[in-house]
Amino acid sequence: MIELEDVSFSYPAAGPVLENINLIVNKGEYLGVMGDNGSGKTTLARLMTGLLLPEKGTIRVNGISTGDRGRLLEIRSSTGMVFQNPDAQAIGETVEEDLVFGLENLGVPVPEIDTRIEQYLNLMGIRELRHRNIRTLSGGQKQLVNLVAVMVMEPECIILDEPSSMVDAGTRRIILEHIARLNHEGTAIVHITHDPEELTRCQRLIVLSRQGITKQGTTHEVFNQLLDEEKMDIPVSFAISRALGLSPVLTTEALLEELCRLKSGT
Amino acid sequence: MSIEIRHLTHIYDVGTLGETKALDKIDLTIKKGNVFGLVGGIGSGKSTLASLIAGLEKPTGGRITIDGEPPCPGKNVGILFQQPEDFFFEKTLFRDMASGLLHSGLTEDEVDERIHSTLDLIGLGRQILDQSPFHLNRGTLRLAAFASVLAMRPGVLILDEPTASLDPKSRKRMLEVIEHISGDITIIYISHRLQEVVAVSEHLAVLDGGKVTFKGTVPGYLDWAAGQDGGEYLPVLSQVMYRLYGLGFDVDPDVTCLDDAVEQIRQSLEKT
Repeated sequence: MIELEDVSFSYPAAGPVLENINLIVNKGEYLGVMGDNGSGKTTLARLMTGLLLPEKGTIRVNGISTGDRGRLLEIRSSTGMVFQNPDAQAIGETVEEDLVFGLENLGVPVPEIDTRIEQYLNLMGIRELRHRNIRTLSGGQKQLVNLVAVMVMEPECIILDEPSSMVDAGTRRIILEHIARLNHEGTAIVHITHDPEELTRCQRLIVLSRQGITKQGTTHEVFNQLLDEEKMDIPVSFAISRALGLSPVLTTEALLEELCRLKSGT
Repeated sequence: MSIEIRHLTHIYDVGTLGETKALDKIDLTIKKGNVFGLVGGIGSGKSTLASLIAGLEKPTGGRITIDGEPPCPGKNVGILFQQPEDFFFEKTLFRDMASGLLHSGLTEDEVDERIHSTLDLIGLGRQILDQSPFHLNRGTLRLAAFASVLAMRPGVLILDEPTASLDPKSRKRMLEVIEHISGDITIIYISHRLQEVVAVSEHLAVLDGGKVTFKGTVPGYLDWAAGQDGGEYLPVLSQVMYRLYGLGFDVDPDVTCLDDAVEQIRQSLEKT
């Protein structure tokens, strides 16, 4: 789906941010990306969507190089990005205008635009925001609107850069469930976050640093490595289960089930 | 400085399709020098309340006073906005930090002193002042933005999601700084990271649909949150501990440290 081959990137005067990155995002996979501030996570996301071009190396989305500017619309229609700063993504004055903008650009017929907007606003439980001025929305509401703005385009791959850093736990759960459902239905997901609790549904994790990709593997493998190094970026259930010498689990439900089994001696 | 909020109501876009009542007759008292946590779902009214306490908007009903006076941004109240590092625009960090202070009428010497003493207070090295904000990482910039607001010496400081998008190391640093300065300044701490709110706050309020649904101490909050459907107002560790407690494990559900939680679970298992 997305292939990065020996990709390097630096900002003028800020020095190199990414160096010799090789990474493949497969069709339909759910990839988690972790890393400290300044490790290049957001830059990676922008490169994958063609918003930035690599200084060295190549990036292909469904075989199309992001440097082929004549085919940018094809890249943009197959990958969508939810920005970390919700204000960086909003274009329209009202929520509806914002959602219409991207769909019109993709050439979606008008009756279908209306249907899709209604469908996805309903799905995320924010139908009442349709006519609201974006300026008056909270940070969390803007994040939900931005997520809907990408979902309505129905891309093959969604890149999420801290998509729920400003929402409450209940809304985060809803967002994560919808992301997991989209992935289950075949959408590839690249999920960038500092919150390890958000990554428990990923199939694969990578950890970025200024040195490049320092860790990669299955979710269990990477969390195990981080725990060995006493890093803090571990889901609570994973840390408790390993500290107790149990087989590590990623969710509260799995932890409770295991502890109850031990308590009852079964 | 103490804050009195009485019958506060705020309605956006009156008379339009998007008319929304964001706050509905809020009453709160926040004591001087307190760290006051503000929790709630999206659209619950937290950011609106922050904006009104910061004096950035006039409420459509009710009143807010800070030591008896109305809020005056840059004077008796300061706010650290969400993602504040995106507002840096000058060539050097010093020029960015100085611009607000110079506008407030301080002399250049006073601005120098304020910036240097504030950086010392929050433990940022002075060498960063000559650097471009665009070359610093997000964690350092967030602390620098925090220092810029703090340098105005507000009696009330509102922190709106101060740790969002920060890595664990930078989050820890931010919380240490808040703990260090609390007592002298009244702090309103707005965050969805419940573990952090519980760790830094002395009192808490929960907003839901523009109304206050809980106000009280941290232990009171944890008890209240444990009784809510789904337990989503609880930090993840507390969710685990409250559920274990409910399942008959001999653990303290209010424990907030992971190592203590593990030890209690281990002991509880050994007893059975």
